[in-house]
Amino acid sequence: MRNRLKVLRAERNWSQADLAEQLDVSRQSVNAIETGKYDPSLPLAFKIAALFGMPIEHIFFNNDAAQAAE
Amino acid sequence: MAEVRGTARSRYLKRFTLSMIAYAGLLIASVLALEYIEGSELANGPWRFALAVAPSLPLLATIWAMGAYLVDEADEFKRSIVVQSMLWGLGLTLSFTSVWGFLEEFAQVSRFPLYLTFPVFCLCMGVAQFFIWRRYK
Amino acid sequence: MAERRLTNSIRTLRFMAGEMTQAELGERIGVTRQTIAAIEAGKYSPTLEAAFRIAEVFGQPLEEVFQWGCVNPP
Repeated sequence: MRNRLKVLRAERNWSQADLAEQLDVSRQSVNAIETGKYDPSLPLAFKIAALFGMPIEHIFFNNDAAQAAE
Repeated sequence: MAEVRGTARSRYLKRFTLSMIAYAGLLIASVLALEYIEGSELANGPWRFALAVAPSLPLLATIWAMGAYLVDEADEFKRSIVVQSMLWGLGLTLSFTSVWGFLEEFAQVSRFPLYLTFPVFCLCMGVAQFFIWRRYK
Repeated sequence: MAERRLTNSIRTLRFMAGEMTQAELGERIGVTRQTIAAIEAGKYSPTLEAAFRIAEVFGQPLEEVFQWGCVNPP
């Protein structure tokens, strides 16, 4: 799944390590999610959304939706 | 992957190290003890089996520690990597022992020492883990 | 805040969508009826992708389909 995690992180000037600490996951986890190589579980996605204060759909994109937006 | 604090991974490494030390120690002790009782009345009793099996117990403890790690590890991504590595390790090990088994049975190839199955699994799992980590880099 | 748990409104949404069966929903998103049943009963946490597809079927935001809330409020 595509996502805007890197952008949202940059807006807040957080490193991957910062974000990882806030989510209580490993930095490798954050990196794998950002690069789209690992899809987080639903609970983790909710946690991420809660951290950034926005709906999950504003952070993660189903591939069909991502293509439609282009 | 190098950060090892009071984590599930550090607990696992501790248990693994202790098990390996126990394994080496029991292996030596057991071999010596078996030699010692060779020829005596003890050699044919339950001691023979108990001494022979003793070194396998730390290996069982290691397998348990692997399972305990998966329960302990709170990070889902790390869990996923280890689970994938274990499955690959299992698949490769099962393939290896199956092929060798048929060779033993029908081509009279020399016997594969069964007690080496676990080390083979660890090796296969380790190799798989290396490639899986690399895929996520 | 104590531990959080994932809940869902899939059963309600199914009935509101013309009494869609679990099998029909499964077919729409590409999984078996058993998977839908397990997700609905809260026994299986779906992938993010599956969750998106389910929400898409009902035309609802994801948070309307799945909720992640505290089990024991203070």
